[in-house]
Amino acid sequence: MEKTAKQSPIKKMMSVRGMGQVVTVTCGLIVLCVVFGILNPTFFSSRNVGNLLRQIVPILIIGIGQSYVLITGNIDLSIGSVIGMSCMISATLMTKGVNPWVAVLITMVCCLVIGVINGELVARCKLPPFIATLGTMTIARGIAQISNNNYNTNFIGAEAKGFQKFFYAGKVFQAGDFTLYSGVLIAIVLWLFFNFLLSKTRTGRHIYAIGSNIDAAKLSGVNVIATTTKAYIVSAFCACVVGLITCATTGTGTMDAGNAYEMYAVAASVIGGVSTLGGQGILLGTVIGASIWQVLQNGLQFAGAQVAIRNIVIGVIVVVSVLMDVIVRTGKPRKKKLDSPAAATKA
Amino acid sequence: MKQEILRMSHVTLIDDGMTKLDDFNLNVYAGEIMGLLCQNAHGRDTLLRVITQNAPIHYGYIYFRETLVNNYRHSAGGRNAVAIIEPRSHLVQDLTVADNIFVLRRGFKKYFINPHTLEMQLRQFTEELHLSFHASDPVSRLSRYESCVVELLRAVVTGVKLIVVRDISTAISAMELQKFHRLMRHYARTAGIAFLYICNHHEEAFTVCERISLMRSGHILRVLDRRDFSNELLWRYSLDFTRELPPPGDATDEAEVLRLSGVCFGALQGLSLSVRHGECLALLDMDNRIFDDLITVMNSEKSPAAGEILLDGTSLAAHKTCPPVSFITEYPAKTMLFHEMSYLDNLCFAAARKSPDLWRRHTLRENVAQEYRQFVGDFVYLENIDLLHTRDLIDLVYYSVHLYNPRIVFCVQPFSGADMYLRRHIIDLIHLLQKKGIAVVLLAVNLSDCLLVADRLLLVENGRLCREYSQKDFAELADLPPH
Repeated sequence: MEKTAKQSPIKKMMSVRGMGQVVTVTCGLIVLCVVFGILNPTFFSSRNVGNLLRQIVPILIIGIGQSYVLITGNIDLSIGSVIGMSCMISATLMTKGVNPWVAVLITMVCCLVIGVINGELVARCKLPPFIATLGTMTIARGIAQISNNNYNTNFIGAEAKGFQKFFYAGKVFQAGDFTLYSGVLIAIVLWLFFNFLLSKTRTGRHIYAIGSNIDAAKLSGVNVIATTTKAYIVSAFCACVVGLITCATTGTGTMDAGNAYEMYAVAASVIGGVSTLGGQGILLGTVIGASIWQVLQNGLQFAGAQVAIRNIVIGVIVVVSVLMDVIVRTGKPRKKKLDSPAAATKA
Repeated sequence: MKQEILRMSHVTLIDDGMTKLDDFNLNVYAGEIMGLLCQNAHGRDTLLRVITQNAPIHYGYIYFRETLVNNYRHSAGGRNAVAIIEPRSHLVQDLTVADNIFVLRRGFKKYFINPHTLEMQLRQFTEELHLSFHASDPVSRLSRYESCVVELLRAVVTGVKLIVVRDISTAISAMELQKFHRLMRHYARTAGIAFLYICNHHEEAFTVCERISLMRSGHILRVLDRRDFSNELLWRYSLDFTRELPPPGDATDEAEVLRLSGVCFGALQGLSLSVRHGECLALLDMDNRIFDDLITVMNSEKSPAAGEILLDGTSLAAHKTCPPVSFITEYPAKTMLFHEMSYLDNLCFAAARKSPDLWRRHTLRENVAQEYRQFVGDFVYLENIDLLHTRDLIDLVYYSVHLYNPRIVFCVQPFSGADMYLRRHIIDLIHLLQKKGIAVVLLAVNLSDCLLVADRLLLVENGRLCREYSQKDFAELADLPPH
């Protein structure tokens, strides 16, 4: 505990709360990669690594949003439907000839409204987050279906080429078979921004405080309603971006886009050490969680495992992650309390 | 000859390498109210665990109703017929009074429940004791005093022979405490129930107990009979709580920090008061009803229905972005801290309202750490505050207020559950805040140690101010219900 004049960077990094769990899951990720690489050497091929990064992007982005909400001690089940809504609204507008960037703006506003509604229902109306977001999940899916009269859209058109390039097909870097696409860059920028917001700003501390001790937060001047709403807005924003990426990927709007993605988001967060009980977790963990999720999908596919087996393996990992969190949080082994220096002096 | 309900003979218990009970002796007889004055909290929880659950002991014998239930060679591990009544309720809040008393108890055999029968059975008790609640009332609607009475009735109905009443004066008002003492005496006399009355103040124990055991660090120092009940004798075992002389100068000259004029909100029925710069004001609520509402309006969560709140001469609403008001709730070590955050984060949390840069600029935080290192040592760099003792956690709460430097701080029942040493320490922390010019308002339901630190005392009844005492009038307070 003694503070030394100069702390080594590793010691400083490890002193961040939750970093221990991130290191543990990172080791797990490395082991997984090695195992899958041994089972099928093409796992490490440049082409597959590029694809893997591209597949991690949507899980990571929605994982960031879900992490924000989980840290406040809530949950957002509407993420998947907001992805579908974002995909359908943007595609419908673009097929109707609206400028793609205007369509993006309109889509963004619609999705953020869902975030605001979620925040208000949970924080102001005191609805249980599970029920409130279950309701908005159905509403958002309904909007996705109704936006093009219960049909998937046609191809979004050649005018949306720039849109597709920005969100999906743009090549940022290429070396041999390895290509880094624009989607990965978007994910990195979003991660950097939201990580800064969470770890270096007042809003970030308020988000942690609400999840940790909501009553103390209230008495310390935290606006619980506004902060919770901000977390839900971040979640809706992230879902919206993933919806736009989905639209750019397929070039059409599909009504069931993002189906069950809310569960992927929860999985990425909790595997990465974000606590479902609130107040704990860092976004670096979400990166590792999303990577583990996608490496498992990709690696098991390469290893020739059936879809059913893949689902079982991933499900077990999620349950074990949450169980470990609960055990660590509620059944911590008793550590010896530290003696106060003041008391020691008096003694 | 009276039946012996509990006898603990030379009990020693070591837990985690620490002697929790040290050659501990205690006898409680049927129909007796036995006091237990704990000078410090050491061993108190362990004692209750041993009495109720027969936790294994390292030496000694324990007899319950004249049967050996626990000794150093063997612990049965079963539960004794003991009930505990403490500030934390043990009732199921969403069920009715009748369900809690009759249905949720060991030995209730009936499968079909007839609410009418339960109501009739409860009426016998309520009429005999003049209680105002009904069988069908949900427990969540009862006051804390009524909940305590329901717990007492449940214990009586269950046939419990020993009831442990612990720190109850921190949860109910002085008048309610008197009524509860009457009920205890009633059941001690008529049903032969024994009570173990655990509290921190001898003045409180003197009013109800027949004998008192003095305990320190898990060891009984002395057993007092009624004839030994005197302040002078107890002072020998007490820390020095003598009040320091007030600083020179007339306190009335000080500028007014807070003024409430005819504030109405919930239980507040036209409350008017004023608080001066750096003074310590004790607000004694005789009905134990106003604190939640007072905090709600002072925290600007809701506006009062009527009346005016002025802070430094301007309306409270004008300070909405960064109000110079802080709150320290009851049991602050459990309720006021963010256990997922580091010591320094907790210390800075309130101050970051004034200076948001604290989260971004490491140097600022380092300056704070250096400044407070003189008070708390290297704890300021601690990542996991769960490793700290209650006293150090309370320090953290008070120092975070000290750093924020508000104009006024509201402390709800600051001495709740604190042993003598911790109470002395809390008094020092309150003085530290006062020295910085922060006005302190102690919200209390009993006088407890408030008078040792307060400059003025306001009595509140039915949501409005009924009497004011200055420091020189504190001697008159002997007329008030016991504290």
